[in-house]
Parts: sequence; C-alpha cells; structure tokens
Amino acid sequence: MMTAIDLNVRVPNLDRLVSFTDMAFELGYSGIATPLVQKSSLQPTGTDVKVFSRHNLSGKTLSSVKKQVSNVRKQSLIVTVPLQSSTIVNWAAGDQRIDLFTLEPSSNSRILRKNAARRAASAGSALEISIAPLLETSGLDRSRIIKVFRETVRIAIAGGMKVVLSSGSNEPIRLRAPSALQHIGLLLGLNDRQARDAVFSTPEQILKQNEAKMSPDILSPGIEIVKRGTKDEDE
Amino acid sequence: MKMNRKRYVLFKLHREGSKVTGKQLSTALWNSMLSLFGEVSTSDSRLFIDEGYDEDTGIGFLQCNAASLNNVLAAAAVIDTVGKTKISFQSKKTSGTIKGLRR
Repeated sequence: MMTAIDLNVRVPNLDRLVSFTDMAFELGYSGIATPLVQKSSLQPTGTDVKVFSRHNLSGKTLSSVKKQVSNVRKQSLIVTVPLQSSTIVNWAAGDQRIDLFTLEPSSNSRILRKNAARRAASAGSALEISIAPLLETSGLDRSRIIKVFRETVRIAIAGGMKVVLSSGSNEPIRLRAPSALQHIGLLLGLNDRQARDAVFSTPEQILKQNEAKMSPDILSPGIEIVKRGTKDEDE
Repeated sequence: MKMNRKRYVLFKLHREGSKVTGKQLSTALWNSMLSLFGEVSTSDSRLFIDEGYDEDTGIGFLQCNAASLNNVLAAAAVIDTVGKTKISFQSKKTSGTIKGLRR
C-alpha cells in the first residue's frame, strides 16, 4: 500500500501539533515532517500519523550554512537548503548530507543549473516544491510563481533529480490530500509517474534511508554492525 | 466511441468556518479553473456539482469531461477559501459511472 508523507508542515507550536496530525490522518497521510520537533520520530497519542524532524538550513553566507550541517544531520531526519544563493546551491549540490533543495517563490527560476541538478541527483538530493504559495496568491502573482516552479522542475528532471511535493502549510486546513498534491504536480510539469512518486514514494524513501543511517548500527557509509557479540561468547 | 466521456469524482470538502453551499463551491471551482486554465479550457470542462452535495458533511460528487479531469482536480486543490470559509478539497474516488462511485 502506498503511503504518503508530507515533508514540510510548518506547525507553529507544539500545542497545535495534534490538530495537524488529526487533519493529516483524515487526508490519508501516514506521517508529517516539521521543523518543530527535535526527536527523529515522535508519534502523538491518538493518531497513526508519525511526526518526523526536519531542519531548514539558513544563513546568508556559505560558511554559516556549512557550520550548521554537521550538528543538525545527526539530529534531524530531513535537512533542507533553500534555493536562494547560487554559491550555497553549488556547494550543497555535492554534499550528500543535504536531502532537499527547497524552492522559494521568490527564487530566480535560473537558480538551479543543470550541472548542479546532476550533481545533486548523484548525491541523492531531491527538489522540494511546497505548494502553499499557490494557495496564497492568484492572477499574475500566481502565474509568476508557477513559472518559477515549472522551469525549476524541468531543470531538476532533466538533471535526474527527484522531486518531492509538500504542502508547506502553517494551518491544518491548508494541508492538501495526497491526490491533490499529485494533481498540482501535473500542473507543475511532472508526468503521472513522477507526480505519484513525488507524493508517495520519494518522501518515504528519503526518510527510510536517513532512519537507517541514524541507526546506531551504522558506523559510517558502507560499514554496518551486523551482529554484536557478548562477553560470554568471547570467553 | 463517445466524443465526450464523463468522469464522476466523489469528494469531501474539509472546512474551517461556516457551511459552503453547492452553488458557492461550484462558483469557486469555475473561478479557479478560469484563473488557472482560461476561458476556453474551462468551457470544455463541462464541470457540474451534483445536487446531492451535503453541506454538513462536505461530501458530494462532481461531474466533468474526462479530458479535463486533471485540470478540474488541480483547480480544486488550489482553492484556499470560499467566501470567508477556509477549505481543503479532497477527492476520494473517481469513476466513469455514478454507480462506480457508490461501490
């Protein structure tokens, strides 16, 4: 069974977390990721919706962003970089610790170059599109945002990057059903399979990979503890 | 083969605020289609919300042209408010017949 996870839910405070998970459950999500929680996976009482931790890297300079990555990577299941500065994008494209490149509506549609997209794809990073700006605008403003989204999606797909669709909602009612996100994906230039993967399989894949990496049995990439011995066995 | 194949979509309208009537929802959907896809595409959609829409539960079904189905559902997904009521449109099932929705 396909499970959908919304990787960008901007829960304003912990008191409201349950209202978000209740709405997510009604819409058919099995999990949400929010910058609010520190613990890697938290399940509020009374729902079947898991809550995952997410950290959005921020900073005007490359050095300030780089300093944050090592610390947050061990604590958060999802680490994202905004597509705002070309210097940061070019660095992040080669860094395997970055999971998502988040497209802001104010971004230049040419911020993601094909070479950076290819390198990001090799590093396993995906492009994230949060649809909240499409709900907040209309007319010409929305048309401009759709233009940026469509062009960046086209470059990402051409470079082999995966795409993730998320709600970016800061209110429970602004969450959108997985099928609704899929149809918005079609609007943004994805084909049927890509839109389905952007909602159902890619977010889950990213989370599973990171959960496995954060397991205490993984010492470093390629080295895993398969079996632990006991003192009695040694003797 | 039929030139205009219909599709029926069972939906639920989640809302925060006062009830939304079928007419209000229909107008909001048409306006959203117009805004996103223009007059010609909207006119071809043959979009119609059935009278059986329940304002209390938000459950109903709509009918549209099969070729316009994706556009209709995308337009519905980006509707934020109907009047002063914030909404979230969720399509539950799609079928070529009304009977298929009820299964």
